[in-house]
Amino acid sequence: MKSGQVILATVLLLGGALGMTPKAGANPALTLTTLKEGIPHQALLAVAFENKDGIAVGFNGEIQESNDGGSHWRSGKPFNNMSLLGVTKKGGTTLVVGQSGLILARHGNSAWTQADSGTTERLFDVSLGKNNHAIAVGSFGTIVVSQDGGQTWKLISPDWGALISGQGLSFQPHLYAANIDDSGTMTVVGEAGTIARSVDDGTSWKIVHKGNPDEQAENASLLAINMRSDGVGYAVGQDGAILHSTDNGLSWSVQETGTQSILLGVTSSPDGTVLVTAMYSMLVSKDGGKSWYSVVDPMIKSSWSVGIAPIDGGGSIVVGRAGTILRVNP
Amino acid sequence: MNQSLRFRIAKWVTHHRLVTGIFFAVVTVFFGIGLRNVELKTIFSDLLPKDDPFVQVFKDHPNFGNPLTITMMIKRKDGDIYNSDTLAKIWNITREIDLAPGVDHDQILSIATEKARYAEATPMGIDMRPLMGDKVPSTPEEVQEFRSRVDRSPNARTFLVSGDASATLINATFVESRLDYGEAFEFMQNLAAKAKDEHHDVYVAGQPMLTGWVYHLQRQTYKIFGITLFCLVGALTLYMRNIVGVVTPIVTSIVAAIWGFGLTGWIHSPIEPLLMVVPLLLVARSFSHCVQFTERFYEVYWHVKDRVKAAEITMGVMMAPSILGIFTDIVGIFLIAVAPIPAMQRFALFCGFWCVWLIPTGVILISLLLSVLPAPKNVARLTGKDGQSGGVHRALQKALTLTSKATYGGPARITTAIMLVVGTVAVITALHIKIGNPVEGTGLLWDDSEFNTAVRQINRNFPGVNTLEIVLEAKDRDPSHIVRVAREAETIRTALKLQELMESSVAPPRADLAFADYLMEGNRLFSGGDPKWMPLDQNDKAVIAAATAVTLGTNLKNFSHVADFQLKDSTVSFWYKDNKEETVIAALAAARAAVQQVGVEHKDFNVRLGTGTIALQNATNVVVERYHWVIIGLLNLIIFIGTSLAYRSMIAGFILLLPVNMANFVLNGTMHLIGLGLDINSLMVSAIGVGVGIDYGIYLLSRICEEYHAHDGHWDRAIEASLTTTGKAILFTASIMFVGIAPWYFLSALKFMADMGLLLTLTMIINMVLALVFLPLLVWLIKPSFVKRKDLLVGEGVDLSLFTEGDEPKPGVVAPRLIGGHPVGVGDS
Repeated sequence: MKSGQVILATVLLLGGALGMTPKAGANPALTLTTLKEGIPHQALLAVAFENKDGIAVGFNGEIQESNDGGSHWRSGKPFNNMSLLGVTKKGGTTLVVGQSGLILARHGNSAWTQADSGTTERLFDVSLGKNNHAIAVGSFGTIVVSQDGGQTWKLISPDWGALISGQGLSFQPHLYAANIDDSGTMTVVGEAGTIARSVDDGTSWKIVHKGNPDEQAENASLLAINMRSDGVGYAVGQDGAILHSTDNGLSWSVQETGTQSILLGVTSSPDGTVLVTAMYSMLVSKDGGKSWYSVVDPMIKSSWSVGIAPIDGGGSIVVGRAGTILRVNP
Repeated sequence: MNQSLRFRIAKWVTHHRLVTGIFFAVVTVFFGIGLRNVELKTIFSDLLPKDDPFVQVFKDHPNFGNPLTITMMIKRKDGDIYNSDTLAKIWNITREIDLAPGVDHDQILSIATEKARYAEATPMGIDMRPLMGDKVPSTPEEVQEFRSRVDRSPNARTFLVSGDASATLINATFVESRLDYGEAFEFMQNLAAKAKDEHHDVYVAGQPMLTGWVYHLQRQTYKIFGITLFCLVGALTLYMRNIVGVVTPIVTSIVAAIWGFGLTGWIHSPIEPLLMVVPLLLVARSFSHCVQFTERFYEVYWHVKDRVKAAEITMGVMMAPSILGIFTDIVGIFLIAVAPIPAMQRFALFCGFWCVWLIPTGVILISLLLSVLPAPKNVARLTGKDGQSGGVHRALQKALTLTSKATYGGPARITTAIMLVVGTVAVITALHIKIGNPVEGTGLLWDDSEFNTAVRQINRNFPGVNTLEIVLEAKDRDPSHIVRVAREAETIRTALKLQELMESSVAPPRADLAFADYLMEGNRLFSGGDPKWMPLDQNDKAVIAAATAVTLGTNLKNFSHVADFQLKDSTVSFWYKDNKEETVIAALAAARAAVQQVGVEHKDFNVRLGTGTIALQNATNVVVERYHWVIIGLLNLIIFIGTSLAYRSMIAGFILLLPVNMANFVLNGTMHLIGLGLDINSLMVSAIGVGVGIDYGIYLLSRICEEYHAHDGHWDRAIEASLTTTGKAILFTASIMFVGIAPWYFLSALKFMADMGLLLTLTMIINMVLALVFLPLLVWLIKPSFVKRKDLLVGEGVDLSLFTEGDEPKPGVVAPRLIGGHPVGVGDS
C-alpha cells in the first residue's frame, strides 16, 4: 500500500471459527490508512501523541515526528544507533527508552539529552504522569523512576521472588509496559502474567495479578497496558491474553478473544472501542471487550504492529514492521 | 624459370609427391590418435571471465547463490493453493523429489516438508511446528489451520507461497559429487509432466535444470551438423559439377578437421559444444578456399594440359593470396583469446590452429590431390572456355555487371552518398546497442523455452531466481581454524547495515536475507515473542546466544544459503526481478555504495562484492564491453600491417579495412534493431567477421590489381572485370558459408548457437555486399598507385611460358601469360 492510501477493511467476526458465538448484525467497517511506509529492515516499536504532536521510535535509533495529528511524518536525526523501544509525551516533555538502559529526554523542541538510567538492561516502555513523575520498565524486572521529568532516574529493585510466590526466588520477570496515572499510581505488566502496582512512587509494589506456573495456559506474558482516567484498563499479551480492569488496576479479569496471536499493543476509549495490535493480526471490540473482531486485511495478515496511540479527533496511530505508520478509524 | 620462394616450394612438393603424401599421412595418423581424447563438455564457469573480481568471489564461495538447487513452482490456475487437492499434490511431489538421483535429502524445502515451520512464542515456550505436519490437510478446518500457520511464518510467506497464494515453490538442492545432470533433468521433467493437469501448471528452473536442458538439446547439435554438412556437400556438387571438384575439398577439410580436433585431444583441452558453429564456418571456409584453388587449377590445366605441372603452377600462384586470406582468419580467431574467458580461450586455440591447418591442407595437400586425381573431361566447360556458361552463371554475371556500374563514373557519386548515409546511420544505431543478456532467464535458450518461461513465472510470483550476494568472508582462511565469524556482533551489524542501505537505495531489491534475520527472529521467539526483542544487543555474547538458540539441535545445512557449515563465512542475499542490463547496473551501483559505507575491511572479515547471477551477469557484460573494442582494435592493427605489407601500401590496408569496419557497425546496428545485445557470441562473431570478411576484399582487390594491367590502366573496365569474375567467386564463398551456418538459426533449440548462426550469417552477407560495392567504390574514388605495381605478392598473374620452357612442346599447347586466368598476348584483352 502507498502512503495515504485508504483501505476499507471488512472486519469479520472470527468468533464462529474459534468457538465463540457470532454476534448478530456483525461486520462493522474499519478504515485503515497507510500514512508512511519504510523499508523491510526498519520497524517502529512505539508511538505517542500529545494533541497534534506525535513521535514514533524504533530500530537503530529511528525517530519519526508529526505535528498534524499523524497525517504527515518527517524523519528526526537519530541520537545514536541503539534501538528505541518505548516513548511517552506529556506537558511538552518527551521521554524515550531503549536498548542497554538508554533513556533520552527532550523538553519542547530542544535537543535530546541522555539521562543516566542506572541500568544497562533493555528498557521496553516509559510513562510520564503529572508533576513530572515518570517510570520506565525493562528486562529482568528492571524499574527506574524519575521525579523531575526524566532528567534523573533511580533504579528500583523490587524483590520479585518474594512478591510473586510460586515462581521461584530468582524469578525476575521481564517487564514490558508501564503506566503512571494522574494520581501517581504506577502499574507495570510483564512476564508470566505479572501485573504489579505501586502507589508510593515505586517504593513498594503489590502484585495484583500473576500467572500460574502450574497451569501453563494461564501464564501468558503481558506485553502492553492501557489505563484510562475512568479506571478502566486493559492488559494484553501472549496467546491472545486480554485482561480487563474497571477499578484502576486493583483487580483484573480475563476476556475471551478466541485468538492465540501475540497481542502487542492496546488502546481504548470510553465509548467501548478497544483496539489491539498483534503479530499478524489486529483485534477490535466495540463493547469494551465483551466480543472481539479480527481485522481481515492482507497487509495486517502479513505484518505486525506494536505501538498504538490515540489521536485527537478519534482513531489511533499504529506503528510496526517495516516502519509502517497506519491510521485506524474503527 | 621463376625462382621465387613460393614457386620453388611448389616445385619441390610436386617433384616429391610421395614423400609429401607420406608426411601428410603420418601427421594425420598422429592427430588421429589424439581424437580418442576429444571431449565435448560445457563448463559453465568457463563462460565467465576469469580476471573479474566477481568471478573470483564466485569461485571462492560457490556454495552461496544455491547453484545446485532446482526450483519447482506449482501454480493453481483457478484459485489459490489452499485446497486439499493442491496441497496433496504438493505433498506428493515433495516426497517424490526426495527420490531424485543425487538429491540432498536434508535440503528439500517446501510447505510440505518438516523444515518449513512456523514458530511462535507461547507461555509454554516456543511453539514450533511444521506447517503441514505428518498428513495432508484434507478437511476445510485443517486447510484453514494450515493457512493460518503459513500466515504466521514470514519466511514461508515470502519465499514459499506467492503473494496471492496461487503458487508455491519446492526447492531441492543436489550433492555435487552425486549429481548427474542428465538423470536429474529427466527425473524432474517426468515429475513435472505427471504433476501438470487442468488445474495446475508446473514450472521447473535452477542451474541443474539449465545444464540438463543444454545437454538435452546439444544432442540435436549432431543432427544439425549432419544436415549442414549434407547441404555444404550439396552446394559444392552443384557448383563444381564434377567428382574431383567435390572430393578434393572434402578430403582436405576432413584432414584439417582431424588435425584440429586431434590437437585438442592431445593437449586434453575440452571443446565447448555451445561454440560448435565456428568449426562449421571453418569447414565452409575450407570448401571455398578449395573451390577457388580448384578453379584456378582448371584454368591453368586447360592451358598446360599436364596435371602435375598445373598443380605446381597453381600452388605457386595461389600460395600467397591463400595464405594471406587464411592469415586474416587466423588472426581473427586467435585474437578471441585476448578476452579472459577460459571457454573462449580454449576455443580460440582449437579453431585458431584448425585455421592454421588450412594452410598446408588448402595449399599443399590439395595440390597433391589434384596432381594425382584424374582431371575431369569437361575442363573447357568448367572454365567457360567452350563459350558455354550455365544460365545461373550468366544471370550472376549480369547482376554483377550492373553492380559494378554503380561503383564508377557518374553513378559513383550517388553510391558514395548512399554509403555515407548508411554508414552514419549504422554507427549511430550501433552505439545504442545494449550490453548483456536482455532475456529474462538465460541467453543460452530461447525466450519462450520451458526454462525461461519457468524463470519468468517464478520471478513474477516470488522474489525470483536472480540474486546478488555480498559475502562477509572471514580473514582467517586456515580450514583447521574454527573461527565462527558469522556469529560475531560486528558481522551481524554489518550485514544488517548492508540490508538497510540496499533497501533504501534507488534500486531496492525485491527481498533480502542474511543470517542476522534468523538471529533477530530467534531472539524474539526465545524471549517471549515481543518484537522489541528483535534488535540484538551489540556485543558478541548476545549474538552468540541468539545464534546458539537458533542453530541448536538443527542441521547447519539448513542455513547453508546464508552461512557456511562452520559459520565462518556468511552472505547477504538480495533478490532482483531480472538480470537485464539496467537492473544489473542499478543493483551493483547501490551495492558498491553500500559496501563503501560499511567499509570493506573489518577486524575479522572482509566484505566482498559479490556473487550470484546479478554479479556474474555484470562480469560478462564488463568483459564484453571492454574487449569488444580491444579485439576489434587489435584486429585492425594486425590486418592493417599484414595487408599493407602484402600490397606494399598503407592505402591498401585502409581500403580493405574500411568496408569490414563498416560491416561491423552495420551488424551491431542490425543486432540492436532486432533486439540482440552485445554478449560473448557477438564478441566472437565480430572478431571472426572481420577476419573472414576481409577475405572478400583481398580477393577483389588482388583481382582489380591484375585486371588493371590487363585493361591497360582503365579503372572502370578493371573493376567490371573483377566483379564479374572474382565477384562471382565471392558470391559463391558467401553462399556456401550461408548454407553451412544459416540452418543453425532455424534448427537449433539452443538460442546461443542459433544467435551465433544468425550473427555469422549476417556478418558474411553484410561483408559480401560491402566488398562488392564499397571496396570497388573506394578504389574508383582513390585510384591508389599500388594497383599499378607489377610485383605484388598477392597478384594472381603468371607467365605460363616460364613453366613450359625446356619441356617437349605439346600439341595444341600455347603457354601464354595468364592474368587472373586470362591469357594475355594471345588475343585476350
